[in-house]
Amino acid sequence: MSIIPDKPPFKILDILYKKEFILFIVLISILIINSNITPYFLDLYNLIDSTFLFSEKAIIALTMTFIIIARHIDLSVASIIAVSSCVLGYTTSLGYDTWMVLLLTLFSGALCGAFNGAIITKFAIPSIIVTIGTMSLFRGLAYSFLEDSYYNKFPKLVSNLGNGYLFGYIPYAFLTFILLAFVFAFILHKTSVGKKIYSIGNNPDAAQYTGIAVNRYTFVLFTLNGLFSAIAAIFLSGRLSSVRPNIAFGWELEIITMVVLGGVYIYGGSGTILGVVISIFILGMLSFGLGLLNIPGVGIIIFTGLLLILSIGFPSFVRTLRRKNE
Amino acid sequence: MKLELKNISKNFHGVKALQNVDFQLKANSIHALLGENGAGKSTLVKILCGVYQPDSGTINLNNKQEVITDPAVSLSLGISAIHQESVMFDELTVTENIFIGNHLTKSNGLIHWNLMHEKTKQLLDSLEANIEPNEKIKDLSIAQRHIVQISRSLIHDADIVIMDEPTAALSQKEINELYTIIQNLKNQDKSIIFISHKLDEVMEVCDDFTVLRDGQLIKSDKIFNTNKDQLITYMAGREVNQIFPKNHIKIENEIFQVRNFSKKTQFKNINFNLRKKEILGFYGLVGSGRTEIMKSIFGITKSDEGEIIFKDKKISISKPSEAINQGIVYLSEERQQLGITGLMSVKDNINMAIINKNSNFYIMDNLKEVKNAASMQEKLNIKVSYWSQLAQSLSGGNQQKTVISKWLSTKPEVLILDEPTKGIDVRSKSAVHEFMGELVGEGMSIIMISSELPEILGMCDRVVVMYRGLIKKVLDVKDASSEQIVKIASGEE
Repeated sequence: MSIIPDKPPFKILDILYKKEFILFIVLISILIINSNITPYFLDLYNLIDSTFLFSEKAIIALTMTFIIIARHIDLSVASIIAVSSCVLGYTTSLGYDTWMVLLLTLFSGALCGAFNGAIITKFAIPSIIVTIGTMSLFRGLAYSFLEDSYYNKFPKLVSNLGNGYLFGYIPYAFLTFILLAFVFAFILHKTSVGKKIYSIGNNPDAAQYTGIAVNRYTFVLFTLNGLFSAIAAIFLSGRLSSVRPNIAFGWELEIITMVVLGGVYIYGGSGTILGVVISIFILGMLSFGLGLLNIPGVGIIIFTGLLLILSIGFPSFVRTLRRKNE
Repeated sequence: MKLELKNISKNFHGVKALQNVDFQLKANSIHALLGENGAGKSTLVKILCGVYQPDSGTINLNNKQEVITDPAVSLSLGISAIHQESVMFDELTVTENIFIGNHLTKSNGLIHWNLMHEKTKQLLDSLEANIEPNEKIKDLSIAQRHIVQISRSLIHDADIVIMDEPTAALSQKEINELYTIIQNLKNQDKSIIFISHKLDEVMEVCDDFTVLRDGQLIKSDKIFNTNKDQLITYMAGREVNQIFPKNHIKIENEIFQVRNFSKKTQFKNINFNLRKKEILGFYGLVGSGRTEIMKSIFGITKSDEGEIIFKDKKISISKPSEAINQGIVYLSEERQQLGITGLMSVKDNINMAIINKNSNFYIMDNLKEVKNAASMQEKLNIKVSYWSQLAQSLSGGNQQKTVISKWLSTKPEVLILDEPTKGIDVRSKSAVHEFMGELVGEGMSIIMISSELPEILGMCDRVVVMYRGLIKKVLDVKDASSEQIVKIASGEE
């Protein structure tokens, strides 16, 4: 019996097919360009503080990566932030203990996610439709609850989490994101849970016929996504120290952009946490640099669009080129 | 001579897909194009359809040299292909599908629906097909879809109709109807290129044959100058044991029993038993409820009533994972949709059903995965170059072997195979058959659904014959004849 190798012999050109490699090059270029055009960019404190701009979204991007790899999508995350922030503000105003406030906030997020998951699996409705619905539903709940008012009183711990640093250097939100990124990379790439999520995303019917509990996985993933939205809500409310019903408006698309730019295939089945993490840094550093240059938000949108096309298109571009040469 | 290909060669990245192949198609004849998967049949067809350009060689149509630069040219020359996996628009009607791309219009530019429906009706009548023009494609059976495709090629005034395994997914009755239609086409002065893996039907239907092997022309002749065994030798390049490896294994006691199984509109009052080391065949027309019963046993759908007794104990199965844990697995007939996961690696496909077993407290153990994949690869002789190769890059036969490996990895006791050799070449087919023999020898019990009678008669010990959701008869294969089985299955007995 001949031994079958795991991979074909490595060729240096193969690296150009790797989305992670392309993304890494893009990130390095952005860092170099930014540090050349503005002297403030490479300032350590500035760089650290810039993570405040994306850490909350990045936390949700991790669970969103799982959702998209499993061939689903969740458009209701920003609205769940709104609901959970309201719960946070309301329970604080009732004078509950801090731990009770946090518990109820997390619970509200998980509950919203579980609601999504239950509808998607019980009635077999596509997740895009269900979450378009709950995007309005959850946001509407926040609006009708708060109306014109807002919350600006939160437990001390929440404000600390939103604004504070560990050892005076590392923002808590960023730290949470990095730790979770390691955990999620491990789960996705090294465990049986990850294997099953890939299988579900590649061929949900075949996965079901193979005995994988497709519906249970879907339900848990959506619940988790809700829970993580609540975690983001805690950091965000603490940082802003005010909750209005339009909090985190439009974030769902920014989060999905992070994931898709990271090389996660929008129809499910492939992608890596590493790619998503690099893409989060790319987007973060890009908007930070452009902010320092006083370029308005439109600039960021244009750059993001170009980046998306470049990073997703480049590997297939190289492939076509190579095929023509052969 | 209607169509004459001379010295056609085609290379792909240095692989010689076709080498100096000659092919001649007579006017109003049915010409079988034979060869194993990868022999060059589809390359030849794609050259005729204008999808590929030959590197060298000439194409003569009605004694005129033609260059087929793209599919539109091919269509305008009267060449039309009916593909194995049909390219149709499910949500549109029969008429719309037939006229797609060239709707008939009234003088004011609006679509002339009445005329189109009328023409469709005429066409379907001329083929003696019982299909309404305003039915949606998704409501038609696979056989009826083929007929719509044939009609579509006739609307284009096709002279040459290429059929790629038209009977692969059809039941015997539908196949007979299709044969009639093919004969009708021939009588209308059309020529047909007929690609099939089923040699019985080639012998029955075709006038001439051409065999390709490894991109080369092996033999071209009239069909009455040859026989089945000779064709197999041409195709395989060696003698393949087409005689099924009938096992002389001593069948042991009953292991699996289904009692009073019913599901509304699908099947009713199903009772059968399976003995250890037995191969039990299920024969019936498509839609007779065979697949539906197996899906219920496997926990995909829920039966309304009935019970399963496995190893003298009543068991309940509400989802596939429970069936797998009990040692009962089901290989679906829909290999592409429900079997293989094309964009995952061969290794992942083989291990998909035992992800939990391949991990230690949730953490994947790569060594266990490779070990299992390697042992399965060796056992079934799957042709794979490296483990991370995507399953979709394998040939049909090797994909099927991969799916079988997936199930064998779970070490089942009862293996349910739904059309296990559908659409795979002769050599892979006989490999699968041989393997089934080995498995029962090792103590497994197999239920095999098949629409191919030779396969049923050759492989099975007993056969369950179904008709419209009912078990009509359970026959001992030793005392059964194919005529008898077909009769029962079409409800005539």
